[in-house]
Amino acid sequence: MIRFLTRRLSLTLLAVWGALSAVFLVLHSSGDPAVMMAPIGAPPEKVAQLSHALGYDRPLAEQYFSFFGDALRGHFPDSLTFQQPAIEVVLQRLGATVLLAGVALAAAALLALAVGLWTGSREGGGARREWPMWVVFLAQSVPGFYIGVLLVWIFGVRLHWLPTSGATTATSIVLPAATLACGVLPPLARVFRNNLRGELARPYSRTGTALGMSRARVVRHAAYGSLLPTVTVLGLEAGALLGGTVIVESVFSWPGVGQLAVTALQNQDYPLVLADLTFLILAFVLVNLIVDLLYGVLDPRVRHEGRGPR
Amino acid sequence: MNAPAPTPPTPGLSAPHPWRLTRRGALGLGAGLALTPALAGCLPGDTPRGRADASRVTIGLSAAVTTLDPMNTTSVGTDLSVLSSVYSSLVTRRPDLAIGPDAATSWRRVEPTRWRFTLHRKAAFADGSPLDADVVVWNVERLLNAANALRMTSNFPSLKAARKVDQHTVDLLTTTPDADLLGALSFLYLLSPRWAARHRPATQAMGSGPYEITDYSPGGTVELRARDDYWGRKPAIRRVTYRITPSEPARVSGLLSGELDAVAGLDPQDLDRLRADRALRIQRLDTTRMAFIKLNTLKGPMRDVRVRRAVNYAVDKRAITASLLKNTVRPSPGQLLTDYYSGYTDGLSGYPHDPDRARALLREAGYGKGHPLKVTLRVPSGQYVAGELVVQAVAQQLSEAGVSVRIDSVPFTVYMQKYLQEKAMPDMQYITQAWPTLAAGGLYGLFVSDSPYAYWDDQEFTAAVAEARRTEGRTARDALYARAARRARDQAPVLFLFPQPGVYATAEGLNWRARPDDWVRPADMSWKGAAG
Repeated sequence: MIRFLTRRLSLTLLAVWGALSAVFLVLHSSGDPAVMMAPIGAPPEKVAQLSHALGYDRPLAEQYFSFFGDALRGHFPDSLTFQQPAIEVVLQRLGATVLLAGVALAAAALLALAVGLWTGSREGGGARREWPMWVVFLAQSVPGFYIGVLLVWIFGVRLHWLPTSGATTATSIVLPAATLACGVLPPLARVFRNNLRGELARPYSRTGTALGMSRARVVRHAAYGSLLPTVTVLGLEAGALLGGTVIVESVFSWPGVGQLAVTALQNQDYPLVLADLTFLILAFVLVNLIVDLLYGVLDPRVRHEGRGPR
Repeated sequence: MNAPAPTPPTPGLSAPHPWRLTRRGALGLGAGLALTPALAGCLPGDTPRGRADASRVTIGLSAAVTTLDPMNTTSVGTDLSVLSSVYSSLVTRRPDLAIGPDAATSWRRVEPTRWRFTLHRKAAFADGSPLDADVVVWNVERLLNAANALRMTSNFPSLKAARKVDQHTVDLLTTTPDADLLGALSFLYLLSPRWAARHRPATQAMGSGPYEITDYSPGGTVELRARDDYWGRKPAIRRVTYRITPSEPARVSGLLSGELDAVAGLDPQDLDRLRADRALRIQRLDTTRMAFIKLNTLKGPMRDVRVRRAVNYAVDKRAITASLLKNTVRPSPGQLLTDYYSGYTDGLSGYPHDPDRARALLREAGYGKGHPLKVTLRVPSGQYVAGELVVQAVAQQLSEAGVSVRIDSVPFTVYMQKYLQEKAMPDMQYITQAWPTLAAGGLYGLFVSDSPYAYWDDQEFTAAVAEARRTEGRTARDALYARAARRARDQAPVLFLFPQPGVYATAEGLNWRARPDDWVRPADMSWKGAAG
């Protein structure tokens, strides 16, 4: 277990380093933020002064090493636009994103279980049993941002039931979370349902039925067996979800780190972009780490083999 | 992070009796459907009418408020609009664009380089400390101290020092006579020295303005409450919520759903949709921002004035304003300024749409069949209202005159880097420019030969602007600016287009006069029929 953990953790760190390096290089090749910061008409020597004060006139390699040196010590420079430590700005916004992603993921997982159980626990059955899957397929075929706009139009503009922007009332989360969940639900539901069908067709289920177990018990056992691949997909989708928050937060003006990343990029606020993305990347690899560890919990074989699951 | 382990299936859901299940499911579904609108219905009346009764407004901002330090931002539409409600300045630019009093009740020029301001006797900060001459002196010193590296500083190129005369009188000294000082001072919001010593102005605020901040998170919502002890005229709107809505569709749906009461800077493309809603009032006007296509007169084909004139003749500006901008603006009369600027020259006329003349000029310059003119036209993506649409229309019309145009759409950051830092502007680039103090000398300063913004080296224009800036008398100065304007019209360093359209929407019943210079001040608003 220890070996498994250290191996996973070191791979995680490597992934974080690689992702941050890529972001750093792409960002710094797009120009000097001092040009954007200086007000209109500022003479070139003022811009140069500003650039020097911020350290953006140093060689790229030097900036790169000083950034990682600082980041390793948990230190991020001040945001250029907010004039306070970038990490503080990100932390203030992190809660909103975690809440949104958590609610969306929980809703999607619960719905996927319900849909999977409803449609997968029995062979055949026609439209009366299959209709939830049709809805799921529809949700999968429509891009997320379009679903968002559609929800805004129906529930905000037409019906005036739900707020379409901001995070001011408790109901504000409904539309953005629903939009996010629409992206995650279909793969989860499909994987769970298909695996459930598969498990139900396996000999142990038949044995259970033959031994006189109730249908509910048989399905329960089969459902446990189908969880493993579902959790894999959940992990992958949780990563995609974090990317999705960038778009959904912009559409619904949700004050989280996704919207912050967009603002920071527009303002060429390098320190803030880096701090923000560090968190998003960390969250991404952390989710994958948790999924890997969950395998161990759900499937004793992974634990005992002492090797990586893949 | 937040991956909940899937819960084990509940026996009820997988029960073998489909009918019991269906009934239960139907009941659940019905209850859920009944509950959603009921819940929504229980919400406090967060509609324009509800807010009107409570003297509240919700304003949609196009970008996040990034700092609360009024000297460290130059974003008028967002940061400064919010902060102008919290802080006061010596003078203010009123909705009719004239300079009016704020913390200073009167001012006069006692010497060419010395302005004397008399302060409002009751002017005070929210903590009760007076806004007196010492406060002004401290603020000017803070602004001018290069070590502070404040962004507002470069708007005050001539300001030298402040001297206290007595408690309520203060002198501002400039290095040269500066007619634009008052305009710049309307941007200088005053902090309390005692408060600033113990607080961080970037994240906290304590001012002498009509409102105080009750809630602020960096980049998130901002909430204001009117101060009961404000020394000036009390605003009619008692509570203000700023909602950060960076995406245009979010602003539009926020207006249509009644969540937002006022939004500035909308896209003309959304006009029809907004107009269809009777609960909204639409205002449109020219902004102080001029849109044009800059021509690189230092390099390439645009060095030739005949080519520059040819592209001006080739483009049908009226067709673009009519179709793409829904007639929100009229083409510019061959001007770099909009008519809000002091120093604007009346009586010029733009280049008419004349493709034959354009082709003739191009032939004269040596272009034609076999040797067509090829140019690159750069546009920053998503930065300017309708920018990409306008550029496509321009490229289409130029191609009809025999010019082959390659459109280069790049992120704004890259665009600025190439424009100002690498000095690598292409033959043409779409840009909009404004000068915050509405002084002709400021905006024309972006076209004088030694400016990195210019890409145009014209001695006659540069000399006229430089002389105008030194000139004291209004008439003589305006005559010099007129010379500069005519020279620019004739030499065509840009492809003249039109002012950037300003489209504003407010909830029906909210009185607010939209203004062309980006300021959105809740103190200027009131609900119809409400007291105050």
